[in-house]
Amino acid sequence: MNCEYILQNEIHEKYLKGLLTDDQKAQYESHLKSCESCRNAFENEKVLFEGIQYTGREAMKLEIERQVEKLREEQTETDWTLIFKVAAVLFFLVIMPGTLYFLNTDLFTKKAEMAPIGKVDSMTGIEMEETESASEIAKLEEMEEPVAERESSSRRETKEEKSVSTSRGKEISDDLRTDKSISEKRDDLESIHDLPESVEGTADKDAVSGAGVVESVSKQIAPSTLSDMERERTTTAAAQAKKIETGKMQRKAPAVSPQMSRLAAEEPVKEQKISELSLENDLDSEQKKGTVYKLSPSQPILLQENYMKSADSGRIKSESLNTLNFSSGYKQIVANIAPLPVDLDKKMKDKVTNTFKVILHSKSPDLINMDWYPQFDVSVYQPDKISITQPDKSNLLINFNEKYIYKVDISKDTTEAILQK
Amino acid sequence: MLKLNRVSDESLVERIRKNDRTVLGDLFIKFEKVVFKHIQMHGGSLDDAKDMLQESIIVLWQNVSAGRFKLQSKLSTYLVAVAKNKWMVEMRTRKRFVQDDPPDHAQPAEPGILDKIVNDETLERVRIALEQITPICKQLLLLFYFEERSMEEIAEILSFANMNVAKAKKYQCKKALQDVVMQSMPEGRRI
Repeated sequence: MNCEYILQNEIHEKYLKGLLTDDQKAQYESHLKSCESCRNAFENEKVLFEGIQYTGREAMKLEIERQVEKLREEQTETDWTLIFKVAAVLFFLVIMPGTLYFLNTDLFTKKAEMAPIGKVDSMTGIEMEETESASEIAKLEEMEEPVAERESSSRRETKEEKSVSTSRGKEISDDLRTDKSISEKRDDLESIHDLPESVEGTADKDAVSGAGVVESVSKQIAPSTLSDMERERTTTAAAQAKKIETGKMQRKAPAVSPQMSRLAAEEPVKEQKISELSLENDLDSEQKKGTVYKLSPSQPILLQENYMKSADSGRIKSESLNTLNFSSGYKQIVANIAPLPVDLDKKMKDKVTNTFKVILHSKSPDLINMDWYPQFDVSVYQPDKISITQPDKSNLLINFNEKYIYKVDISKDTTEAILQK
Repeated sequence: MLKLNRVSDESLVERIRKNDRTVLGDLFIKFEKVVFKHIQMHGGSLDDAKDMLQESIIVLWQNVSAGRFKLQSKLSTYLVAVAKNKWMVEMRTRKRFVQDDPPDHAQPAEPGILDKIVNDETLERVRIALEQITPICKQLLLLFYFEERSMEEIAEILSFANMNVAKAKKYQCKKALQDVVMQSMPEGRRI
């Protein structure tokens, strides 16, 4: 092995890389001992070789660190994604069902909410009115005054006409006295003459009576038995009553549909008294402006059932605190609103600030003969929001705080919870 | 991490062969637990363990790229073995330095330490010189001397026409580096 061979075959590099065989290695080392220039060349190669190795190693270490850092960041992001996924799964499997369980009463309450007005109830087929806005109510109130004025002027005119046509009226009266049925109709006619007053007096309380009665009476009376003037008066009064009724219906009787009022209007004369008994004891002024809901007998009353269970398990005290009289016409319904302290569990107590029972009984045994205790399955939050209406001759609607509505069949003495908001 | 656990040793080695440098981080993360555990059990700190794992990966890289590596055992076994040997060498070096530490600090330092300082200084000069030559030259020299890749592979990696071009280029680059290093050396120590 000589210097030329070493340079041509890159023996320095091969030696440094460990690529020489033992024999080559021995020959090379012995040559280096005797050759100074080769030793220097080897030293040069060694410095470069070690320097490049060192540089490569340091660069690779830096690269490893950089990559590890990057991978750890990605890993952290991945972990967060995993955490979010786990959280989402937990939410849907555990938290949400749990929350729904605890809020199920509210959920069902919402579910069972009464449908808004303007829709036809699937069960009863009753179409409900649109909710009035505050401005519409204000307009109606403005319109009310001219109507009242018109009513008073109409009354004055009627009196004048009465005086003018006294002789004619006497003739009619004589004619009427001869016929019993006509006599009854005359009573009706007199009631029509007094209608403005009665409408004024009762319309606030009873939105159902009025026009229907007037119309039915006007239909019943034969045209031949009335003078033109009387017919005109009847028609005018009926129209006025209808106008007032319409206004009152919209404002004061949200729970009674126009269809119901039409039904009431078509009642025959002999059922007039029952119609007059329609109760509109609206204790809640807010209800007048509120939404009118359709009746939905098919809707569940789970919330109420829950309360019923709780109430049954507790003590029921029937101490009467407050008595509200609902009078209309000749009859009276007395509702005793008494506290109902029930041993509810803590959760229920937190929700139900107060519980009340309502005892309804009537002073009219011929029409409403019942001793009804809905209190055993009713708990209301606010006792001052109770309204009782009579949409037709045989049913009472008892509305507790616009939350529960009970339909009481008067004739059968049965109670049916038909609505829950 | 879960993904890395499913990566096979063969695929990691194949990535090294293909000069896929992204495998370096994967190797570190995949084998850090086993290597760290070993080094820390034998008196090493966390930094020592990191250093040893890095060194082991470099050795693996060099052996694979030089064609000296054969996957006969698990990669973790191989890396732990390398780390263990390197740690033993490191421990011996540290022990020797502690034993050689003179009790009287007024005395001059031992020649071994001086040699190391000089050697480190020279290595640093070469490193700086490598930054001063062209990137292609630097890469070529690293591929040839550090990774010990063949000229064919270098020609392929650096997109040279053939291995002869790579050889000629290597000669030029080596000469350029030598010149830069020579210029940076003091007068008396020029090589």
